[in-house]
Amino acid sequence: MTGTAELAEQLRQKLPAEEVEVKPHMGGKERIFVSISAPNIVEAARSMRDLGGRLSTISCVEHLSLFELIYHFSLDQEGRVVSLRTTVKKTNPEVDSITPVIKGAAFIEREIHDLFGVKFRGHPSLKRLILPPRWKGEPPLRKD
Amino acid sequence: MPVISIGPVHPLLDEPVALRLEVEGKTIKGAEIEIGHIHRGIEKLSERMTFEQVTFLVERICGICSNVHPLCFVQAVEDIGGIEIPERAKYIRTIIAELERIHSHLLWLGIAGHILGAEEVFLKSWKYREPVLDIFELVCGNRQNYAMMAVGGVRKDISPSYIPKIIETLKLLREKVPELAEEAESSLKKRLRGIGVLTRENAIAYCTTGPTARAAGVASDTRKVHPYAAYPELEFDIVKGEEGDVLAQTEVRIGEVLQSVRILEQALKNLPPGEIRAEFKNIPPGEGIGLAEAPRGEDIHYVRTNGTNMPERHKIRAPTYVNLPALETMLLGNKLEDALIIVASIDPCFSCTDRVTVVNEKGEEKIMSEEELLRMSRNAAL
Repeated sequence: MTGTAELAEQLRQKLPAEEVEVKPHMGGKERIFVSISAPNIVEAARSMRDLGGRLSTISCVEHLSLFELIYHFSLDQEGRVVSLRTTVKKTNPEVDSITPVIKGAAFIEREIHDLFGVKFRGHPSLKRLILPPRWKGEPPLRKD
Repeated sequence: MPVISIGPVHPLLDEPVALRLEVEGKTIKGAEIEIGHIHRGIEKLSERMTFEQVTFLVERICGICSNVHPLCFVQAVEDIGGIEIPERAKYIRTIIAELERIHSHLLWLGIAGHILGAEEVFLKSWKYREPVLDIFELVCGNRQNYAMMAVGGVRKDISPSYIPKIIETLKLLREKVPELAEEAESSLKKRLRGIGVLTRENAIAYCTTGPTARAAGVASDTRKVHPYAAYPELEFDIVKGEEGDVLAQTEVRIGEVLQSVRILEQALKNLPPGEIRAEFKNIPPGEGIGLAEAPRGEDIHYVRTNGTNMPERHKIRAPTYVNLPALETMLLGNKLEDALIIVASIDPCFSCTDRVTVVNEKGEEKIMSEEELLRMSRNAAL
């Protein structure tokens, strides 16, 4: 088990990190958020997988001009949640899919594709999952 | 290759799911899963409700493990607000969570018995689940949707006068669950061994959690890995299997019922006195992650706030969401008659209804009723 500062430093070295933030967690170990630029996300996800990280889920948050994607990994050995944060522009909401390196991401990415309209390049089967196959409207979770 | 479509309204599953099974003879050669038939837009609804209201909203995500979603949500909000909850509230949260695990696992075992035609297992496990629901009724006023969680603690206290009754029930479970396990094993073992195998590699690759992953030998349990509530102060073991088959999943769940009894006995003995809910002011802008071990695995809520009394974004990921895709590999190479119990083995929420459409190579369709499917499942050699 490594301390927060030590683990944050390790992540800074092993991941193509831009910024590492530490956020408080009541009654437990601090949560670590690592900012990654969108083109590096697959490499970062692969490194997290190799560090023993299990992908919990991906949260998509909408902002005025961009989408924020937060990939939550659980490092079970360390007892830590490490989240990778990246952003994509709303005008061209595309990011590389991490499904080729983490099989479990397939459904999670399909859900975000359905509800926010973010495209995941290289996803083996980016079909409708939550929405009906013939859905034509706007992605329903978008506010604009 | 002939394709058999099951669902979207699936016999014995109350959450509609569509399965497309490619079969050769009676052997499953390929499986595809489709979900989304019961999407209720809870994440969107949550953005229009206050933190207090969202707690009740997310309690309604699942009818079986209804406590775990509010538990995750309030933990995420407490992280954002920096709210320290009282010791007694931590213990009460643990007690409710463990009672829920017992009732959920016993419910699962009963349904597994029912699917396989071992009605004595069904009747007995539901018989022992009943007193657990009685405790919920006594403590929370509800047998389901307990409404106990709240930001800052819990809504209701457990009165000392209830404790003897809870201890009595735990005694009963400690005595009867091993008997039930023995009975379930003798009637189901042959049928469950070696079917629906999830290898350790696949359990990790598909990011599975909970009993599904533990049965495959992945010793991951949110209660130990990311301790919350009173778990750090209580002793219990992670129950894990090795084979990854449906039998191993059954053994893990039965083992966990006994571990839950152990946790409850300690929690009731050490239940600290004091307040049950902390006071707090406005929730500042920020983000928080709430994690808890649901009976089915890790549940995670991500909450983003903007300084108002409503979440700006609330992402919910229930454990079945990551366990379900693993069925694609668990079903491969198994017999069609085992498909029902394999789908059931990951413990998606249960109920009954409807029919299965069987399509053969010529595109002819045959509708199978729930009874026919059940008969097929039960008539397979025990």
